[in-house]
Amino acid sequence: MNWTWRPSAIALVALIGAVAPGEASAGAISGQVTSAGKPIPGAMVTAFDEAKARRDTAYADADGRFRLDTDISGKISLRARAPYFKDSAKDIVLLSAGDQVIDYDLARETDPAALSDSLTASAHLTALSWANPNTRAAFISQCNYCHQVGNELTRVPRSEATWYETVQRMEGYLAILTNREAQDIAATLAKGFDGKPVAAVQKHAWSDQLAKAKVKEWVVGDELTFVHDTDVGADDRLYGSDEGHDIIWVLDRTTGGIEANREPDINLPEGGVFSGFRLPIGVFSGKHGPHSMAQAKDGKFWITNALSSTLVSFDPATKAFKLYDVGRTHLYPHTVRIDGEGVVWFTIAASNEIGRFDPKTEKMTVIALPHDGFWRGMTDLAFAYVLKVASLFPASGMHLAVSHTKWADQGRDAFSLPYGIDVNPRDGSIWYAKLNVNKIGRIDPETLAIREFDTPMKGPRRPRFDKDGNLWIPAFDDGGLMKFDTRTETFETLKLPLLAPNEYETPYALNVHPKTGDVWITSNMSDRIFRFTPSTKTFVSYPLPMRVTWLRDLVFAKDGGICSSSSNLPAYGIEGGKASFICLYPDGETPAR
Amino acid sequence: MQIAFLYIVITVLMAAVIAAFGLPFLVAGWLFARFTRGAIADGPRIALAAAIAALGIAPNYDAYQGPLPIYMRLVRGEPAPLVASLVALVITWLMLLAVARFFARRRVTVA
Repeated sequence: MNWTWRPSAIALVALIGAVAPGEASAGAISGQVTSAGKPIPGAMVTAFDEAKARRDTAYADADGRFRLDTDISGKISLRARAPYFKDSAKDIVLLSAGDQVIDYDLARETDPAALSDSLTASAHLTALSWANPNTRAAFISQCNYCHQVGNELTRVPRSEATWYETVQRMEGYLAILTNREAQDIAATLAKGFDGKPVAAVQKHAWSDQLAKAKVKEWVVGDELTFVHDTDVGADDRLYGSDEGHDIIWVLDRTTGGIEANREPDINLPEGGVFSGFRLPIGVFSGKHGPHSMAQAKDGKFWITNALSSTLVSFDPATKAFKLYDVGRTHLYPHTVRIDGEGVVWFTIAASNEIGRFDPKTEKMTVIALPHDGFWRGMTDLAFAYVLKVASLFPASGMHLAVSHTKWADQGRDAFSLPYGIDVNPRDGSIWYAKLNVNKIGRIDPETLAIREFDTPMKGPRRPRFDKDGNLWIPAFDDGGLMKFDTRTETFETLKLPLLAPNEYETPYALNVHPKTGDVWITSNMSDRIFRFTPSTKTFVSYPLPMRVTWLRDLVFAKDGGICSSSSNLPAYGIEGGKASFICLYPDGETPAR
Repeated sequence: MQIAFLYIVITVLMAAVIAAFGLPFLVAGWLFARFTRGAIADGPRIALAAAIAALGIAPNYDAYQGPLPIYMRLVRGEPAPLVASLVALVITWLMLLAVARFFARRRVTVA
């Protein structure tokens, strides 16, 4: 826990009658956040329920005033947080439909160590001095896609030898580095994370948009839960794919109830076809690895099982799963989307393919993508067989011993890695992003003809279409946003707003709001969500209440929520120690039904 | 036991790669043996040729158990611990020597 509890400030308000914790009806907490009489715009006031399983957050307006309508009742811990100020916590009891006024007078944080600890991972990353820009690029690409590095858990001082062991362990999981990159990263981390406070100056741009926004979070699973993606169902429930435990979590936001639906067993060892990898102990204890999901018009979810090379349908009404084999040489089914005809399309990341599955005929088609050169072609042809041999030695990481990522010094360049995918609403064409070769591609859904385009920024990850047929693409490696006009075949690029000039962001995913056309983007190194308005070309940054918030797919709920899962690996690295479903309501909550 | 088996499997799988990297040394060893025939007695000649070839293919195993010729590690600036390298060099030399003598004896028999 990073926040500072101040027993002297605890105000336990005694109320008449029994108070039952729960989410029956809304109460309200309002007040003002100031420091020495001056308001703190943008300060976050968060209510935690007694079990620390629910969190609601409101933002202070220009006068420091806030109003938090919350369905949490009973004993509540209330915390006010603002950059450069000490957290202030108060315990209260809130009746359902009750109303309380709580003011905060925050003290400036003057202790350099505490101030440093309060900064986002992006600030701590500035302590790393990279001798080689290529190694920095490898670090961003291969170390930041699972987690923030620079958070409280990962910036602990370690010797170079210990860091090297850690980096090697990460390579056993899925990071792809050359030997030189692994050694240089270990040396840089050992030197940079020395335990001394970081004296970064971050500028938080406050927007009056924040005052009407609200964040709600629901803790899910335990310290090792990894909810990779979240989707919102037609029933406005949130569905989360727990890649480590073969579970589909379902959250009813109206009751706060969460249920776990476990996928059926399969004749594969732990880790599935990747059992030769050194899978993170405890986190990856499944065989399927449910990764991404999309709901069809008939209500069924289609889910890519990354580790078992299967596609699975999940019927929320009957809770029934049905598995479809993609083929064990087709490695890591990744992002899935459904076209207007109900056909399921998904990237197959590690073998450079696209899958097409027609639920009506149950016909599976795998489309090989262009090989992108000799070494990547070698990966496309041989990697599945390397994994087969490696699986004879479970959890040994043997694939690294024989891989040309190592002996031919190819590193991540050995993989094309088709990643995100989406359907163009204008013509039904299928578009994908190839992460490691900086390309996007188009597939004609009828002829399956392929065309590819080079992207101007690096690391195109999970793109989404707007209703006009523009493809919006997050540039993970370059901290940017790209727009590709599919009619003129031209790109526009933008850099994401940073808290300080020497920081960087790693946008993993984005989504385009179907009504407003705003593009919502994950930040992931600075615990924020960005809203980009194309008409004015302006960003609004929404700081998020918990440190180490790492988000993946963003989806839009009917009640105005922009929802995702907080899925930093491992979950115990997240402030509070557990994964969560998270929804940002930029205009407050509106009735869902 | 499983670790030893793992190393053997890895080495077999990587044999072609190691041989490809060691090709200049293998050729040099063969040329040495060929052009010094008659000038140096067979025993030391074959031993020296095998040593030249061994310099090119004696493997060093990295932290991932991946083998590469020792000289390649040095060229790439990667660590190649001295004792392990010497052991690998001697074992490789002895193996090459055995193979070379086998073929030399066979050639004499055929002739």
